Amino acid sequence: MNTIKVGVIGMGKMGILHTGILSALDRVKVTAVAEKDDTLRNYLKGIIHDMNIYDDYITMLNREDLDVVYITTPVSLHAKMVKDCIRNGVNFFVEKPLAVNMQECRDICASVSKDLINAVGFSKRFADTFAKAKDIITNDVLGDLIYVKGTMYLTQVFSSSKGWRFKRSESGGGVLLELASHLVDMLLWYIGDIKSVVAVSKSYYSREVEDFVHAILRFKDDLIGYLDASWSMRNYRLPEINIEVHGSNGTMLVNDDYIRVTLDNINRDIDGLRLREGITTIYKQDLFKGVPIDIGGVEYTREDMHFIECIKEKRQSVINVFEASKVQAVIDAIYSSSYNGNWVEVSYYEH
Amino acid sequence: MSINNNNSIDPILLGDNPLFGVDHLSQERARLRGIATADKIVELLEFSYSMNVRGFVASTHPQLRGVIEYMKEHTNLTRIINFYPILPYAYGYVRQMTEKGIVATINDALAPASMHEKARIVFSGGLSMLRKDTKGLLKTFIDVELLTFNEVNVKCILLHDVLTDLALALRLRDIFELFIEYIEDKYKARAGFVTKNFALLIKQFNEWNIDGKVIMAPFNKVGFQMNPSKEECEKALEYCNGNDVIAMSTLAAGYLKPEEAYEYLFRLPNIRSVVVGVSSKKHAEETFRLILSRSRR
Repeated sequence: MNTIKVGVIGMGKMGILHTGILSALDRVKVTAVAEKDDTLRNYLKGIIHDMNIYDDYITMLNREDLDVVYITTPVSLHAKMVKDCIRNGVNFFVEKPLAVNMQECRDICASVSKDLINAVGFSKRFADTFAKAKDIITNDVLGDLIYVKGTMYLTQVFSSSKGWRFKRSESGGGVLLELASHLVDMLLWYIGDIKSVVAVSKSYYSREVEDFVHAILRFKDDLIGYLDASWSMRNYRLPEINIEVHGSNGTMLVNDDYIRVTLDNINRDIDGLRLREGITTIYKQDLFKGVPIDIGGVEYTREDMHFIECIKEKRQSVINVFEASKVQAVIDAIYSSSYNGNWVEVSYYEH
Repeated sequence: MSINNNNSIDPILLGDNPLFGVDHLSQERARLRGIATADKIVELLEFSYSMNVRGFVASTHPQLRGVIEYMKEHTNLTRIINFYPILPYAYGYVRQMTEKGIVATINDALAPASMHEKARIVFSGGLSMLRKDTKGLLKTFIDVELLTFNEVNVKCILLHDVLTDLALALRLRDIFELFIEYIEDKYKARAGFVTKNFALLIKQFNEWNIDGKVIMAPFNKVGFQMNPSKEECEKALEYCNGNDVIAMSTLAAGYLKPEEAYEYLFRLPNIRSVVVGVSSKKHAEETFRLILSRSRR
């Protein structure tokens, strides 16, 4: 296949990151970017000379011959942009979360054709420890699953902040949608569909969106899970996910730094990984493999490499709009329960 | 900022991460350790100096100003140690960008410049002109970031890996040249680059004929953060020409034992210096003693 031509919409933090990574990959070229902010566009013009820079993404879609579009804008713009990509028949990657609510996700899922390769930026799936933990669960090391607990904390919001992330009309939600959608994706990926939820959310600093969310999740076979998230937690310099999975054979704790598996009476080997009775700790250093370019974390490079491979091989990404809509379905149910105080069934998109 | 005529890189550098609550092995461990107070940091620097450690690598962290003030008030350290600032304080900016977007972050970051550097900015056409002039903006950014280091010895100024690696990925030769020229001409310091893509950076520098600079990159026995691979990075060391290499992450972020880590490191060619993060005097003594004993062999 010839060089893959990419256009990027929205040159904020994530747009710049993906533009950098993609530019360094073999047989990939970012040929155009669209950014509607005049100041930011001027800065880009002063630095970048080999890409066409547009103030409007529709013009970019019309004029450029693109194989892929990356959508890295505020979430409230995702749905319209995704649909414009679908209308133009161009493959797309959209940053997480997919949209502001399930209705928008349903519209996207209903309109996407199966020939279009698409992906949503749930990058934690490409982080070494979280990916290896998935192997441990899939290989049934822990036995019958009994309980799962996932937390995600960050030290960020301690006053009422400006910016689109803190306006419900633009962000769709607070810490749950913006940050802990990663955690919801991990829990769905590890354990399977969540049937119903009961939740409480609380705003302490933000005026329009939640700063804390606490939810009980009921998976299939009545496996119970607990989710707890906040961006107003002290001493969490970086966003930190911790997931504990308890099974009949033992327990696993996973975060960005390590996996700790405690087994009662069994020894298991998975792909050269030796899990022994007692405690085995697998550090990210044990799992590290180099990438062609690392800008702020190898998981973003792996995520982009996976998607580009999918385009080259014409196959769907592991985290496409249908998978991502499941995350939104759970988030909508949690919001709904936190308003009415009842157990709420999760309503997935069926296709 | 004083001019340091001897521009060779100090062989051992003290890193600031463990002092400011950063731990790449475990965020849990960083939380337990917390952030060291200015007096503890200065005490550790004095102790390190007594063990012949002359360089301090520090991000342009907001708390650093307090540490330097304390140093000036209670010790003569600012006159005898060399600072190796890493700019910008990327962690802070990334957080601000998440909260308020890139443009507002830039505007807020320039606020101190409007006070301290009014003359230059007015001369260049005012802040609004600067907003159209990307390169002028980058220079002002560098000036703002370096305000903290006004009255200390700065031997080398390093560009943070996120920016080095982004500019590398986008092959922005202008940005590398601008940084080098500005640091060398205005600050009379050595220009340096932190990278997690050592092999690619060396390849690109050789292509662009950039030499005589300082490059700080991970080198460790397990190949952690060595991209695209440990082997490629080791091979690139042989072609790094006149660039001085500072090894970082030598313990693979606390994963390796110092003995095995330094045994590997001292086998590699063309490593000029090593940066080590230590959190206590005991830790400093063990680590520096080990490095000094190995380097004398």
